[in-house]
Amino acid sequence: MYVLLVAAHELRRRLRDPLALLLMAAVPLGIAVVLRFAFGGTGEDATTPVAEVLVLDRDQSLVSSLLLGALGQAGDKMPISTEVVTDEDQARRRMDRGDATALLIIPESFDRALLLEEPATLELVVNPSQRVLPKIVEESLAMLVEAHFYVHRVAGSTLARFGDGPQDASVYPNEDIAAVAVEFNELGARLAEWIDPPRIELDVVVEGDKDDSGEASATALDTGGVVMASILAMTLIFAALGLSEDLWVEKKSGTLRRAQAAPRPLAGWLGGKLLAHGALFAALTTGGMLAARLGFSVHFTGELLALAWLTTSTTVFVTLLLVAQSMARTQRAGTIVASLFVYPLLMIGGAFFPLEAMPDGLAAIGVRTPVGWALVRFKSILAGSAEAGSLLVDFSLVLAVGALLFVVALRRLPGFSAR
Amino acid sequence: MIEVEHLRKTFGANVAVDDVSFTARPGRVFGLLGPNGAGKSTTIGSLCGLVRPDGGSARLCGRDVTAGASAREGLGLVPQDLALYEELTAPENLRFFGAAQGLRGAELERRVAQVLARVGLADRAKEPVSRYSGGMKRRLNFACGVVHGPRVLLLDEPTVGIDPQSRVALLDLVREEAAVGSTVLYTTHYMEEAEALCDDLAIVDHGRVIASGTLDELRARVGERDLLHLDGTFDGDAVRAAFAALESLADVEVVGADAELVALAAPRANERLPELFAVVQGAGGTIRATTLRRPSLENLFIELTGREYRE
Repeated sequence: MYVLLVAAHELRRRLRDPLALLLMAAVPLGIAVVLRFAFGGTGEDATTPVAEVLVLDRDQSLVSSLLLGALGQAGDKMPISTEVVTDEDQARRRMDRGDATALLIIPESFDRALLLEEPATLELVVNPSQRVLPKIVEESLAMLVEAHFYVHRVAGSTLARFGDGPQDASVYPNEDIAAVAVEFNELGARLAEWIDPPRIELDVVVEGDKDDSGEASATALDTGGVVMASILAMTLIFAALGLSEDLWVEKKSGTLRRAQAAPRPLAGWLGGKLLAHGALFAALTTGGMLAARLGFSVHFTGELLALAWLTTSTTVFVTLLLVAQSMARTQRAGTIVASLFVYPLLMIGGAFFPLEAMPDGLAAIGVRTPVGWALVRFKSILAGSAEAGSLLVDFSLVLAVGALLFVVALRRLPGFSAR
Repeated sequence: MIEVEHLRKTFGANVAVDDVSFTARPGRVFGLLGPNGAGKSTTIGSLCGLVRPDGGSARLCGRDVTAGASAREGLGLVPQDLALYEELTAPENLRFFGAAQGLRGAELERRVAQVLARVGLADRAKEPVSRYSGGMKRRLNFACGVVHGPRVLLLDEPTVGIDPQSRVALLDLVREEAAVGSTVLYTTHYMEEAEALCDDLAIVDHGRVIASGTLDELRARVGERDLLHLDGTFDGDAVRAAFAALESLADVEVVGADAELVALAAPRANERLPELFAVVQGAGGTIRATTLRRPSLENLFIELTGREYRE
C-alpha cells in the first residue's frame, strides 16, 4: 500500500528531527507547568492546604463537640483540622510561633446558651502570618453561627427542652430522646422539599449560544480540564501549522516532483502524508492527556473518543492549511496565509483563551469558528456529555469537509509544484 | 524509446516549448542542449507528467505521457534539484523512491545495495544525507532515479554545481545506463558535456529545436570553419556589404553584424586575421577585442542563432 509506505516514510522523517518533535510537545507542556506553579495544581491529588485550629473547649458538652465536628466538615475545598487543647497559655504560645491557623475558645455553659438562644461569646484568635486559611476558618464559624440562628427559627422549642439538662437524672430519659427524634424527623420531612435536593441549580450558558444546543455549556469540565483541553488544542494547531510548511520543503527540494513523476497516484502520496500527520496528532493528544492525568491530576472521560475526534479534526485542519500553502507563490507568503488562518482561529476559537474565560459576545463568535466548534465538541466528549447521534453527525461533517479539502489540495499540487 | 512530436507548451504569453520534435533511442544518450530558459526542463516536465503539454504528443516506450500514471512505469527521473530527504540516510532515500516505483522486499533491498555500491556511497550508508558533500548528494540524486532500473531515464541538468571529479563519475554512470539498454535523455547547457557524453543531440533555443542529429552530423554542419568574434564599433550593413563584395573572401560568412559585434565564420581564420581585420576596418569599423574559436557545437549555436551562447 503506497499510502502506508508514504506514511511510514513521513513518520521516519519526523523521528529524525527529534528537536522539532520535542518543541511541538514541550511548548504546551511548558505552559501547563507554568500554570501548575502559578495556581498550585488542580484535581484531587493536588496538595491542599489545611487550616489547623486549636480548640480550648471549656464547655466539654455534647453541643461543643457537635460544633467541633461541624467545623471540621465546614471547610469544603480547604479542610479544617481541629485539635482540642487544655492549656490556654500553651495554645497561645503555639499561636505565637505560628504553629496553627487559629485558636478557638469555647466558653463554659456554651451548650445551655446555644440551646436556649442566650448570648454567648466564641473567641477566635487567628494567625496574622496566614492570609487565606484564617479567613476560611472565620467564614466557616460564622456560617455555623448563622445556621444556629435558623435552626432555632424552625426547632427552637424542641432545643429549649434540653436547655436546662435532664430533670431527675444524669442522662435524658429515653422517652424524651425518642420524642425529640420524632420531632426532628417530622421537621426533616417538611424541610426535605426545600433542602434535599437543592432547589437552586446553577446553569452557565454562554449568551448567544442557546440555539446551538447549549454546547458551550455542555462542557462540565473543571478549570483544570478546560485549560488542559485548550492547551492540547493549541499544541495540535501549532503542530499542524509546522507540518503544513513541509509542503514547501518537498517543493523546494524537488521530492514533490519525484513523487509526481512516480507511477503511483499523487493521492497516495498526499494521503500518506496526512495519515502520518494524523498519527502525530494522535501521539501528541495521547501525550497531552497522559500529562494531564499524571502530572496535573486532571481526569477526563471518553478519552478514546476524544482522541479520535481531535486527531480527525486536526488532520482536516492541516489539509486546510495545505490548501492555503498551495495557494501561495512563495514560502513566506504561504506562512503568512496559513498564519492568517491559524492565529485568529487560535485566539477566538478558545485554544488560547478558553471560551469559558471569554466575554459572552466573543465566546458566542468563538464557538462558531471551526476551532471553537471542534473544541466545544472535544470538551463535551471529555466531559462525557456528548450525545452519540450528534457526534456521528459531527464526525460525518468533519470527514466530508476533509474529503473536499483533500480533493482541492490534490488538484492544486501540480500547479504548486510547477511554479 | 522517447518519441516527441510537435510538442508545445505555453505559460501565458511565454512560449516555453514550440513545436519540438525528436526521437531518443534505447542504448543511446540523447542530449537536449541549450542555454538556460531554452525550454529543456519544460520538455522533461512534459515527458514525466509534471507539465501538461498544450499541443503535440510525447510517448515513452509507446505509451502516451498524457495517459496517466501508468505511462510513467519504467521511467526514471533525475531532477536538477537535489530531490532528497536530507534527514534520512542514503539507503532510506533509495528504499522510499524504489518502493514508490513499485519495488518490494528482497528485490528492493538488492537494488538498493547494488545502486549504493555503484555510486560509491556504500561506506557512508549510515549517515544522514545532510552530512554528504555536494558531489555525493548529486550521485545519490542520480541513484534515486535509477534504483528501479528504468527503461527510460530523464536527467535534467544533473551536474549543476558539481565538482569536476564528481562530474566525470556521474557522466560515467549515465553512460553505464545507456550501455545496459536504457533510453537516456540528458539535458544540459554545458556544450563540452554534451559533446563528451551524447550520441544524439538536439540544440534548443527559445523553445525551438534549431539543430538535431548525431554528434558527427552536427560537427559536420560546423565544418572546419573557425569562428571569429570582433568586439568594437561597427556599421553592420557596411561590414556585410564589404565581405559580399570581395570574391577572395567568398568562403567567409558574416554570421552576425551589429553596432557592437561582428561574428565571422571562416576556414583557417587564425591565418587570415590581418586580411579580415582590414575588411572590417575598411567598412568603418573599430576593433577593440578579438576572440577566435575552433570548430565546436558552440560555433554551431552561434552560426544558427547569430548570438553568443549564453549558459
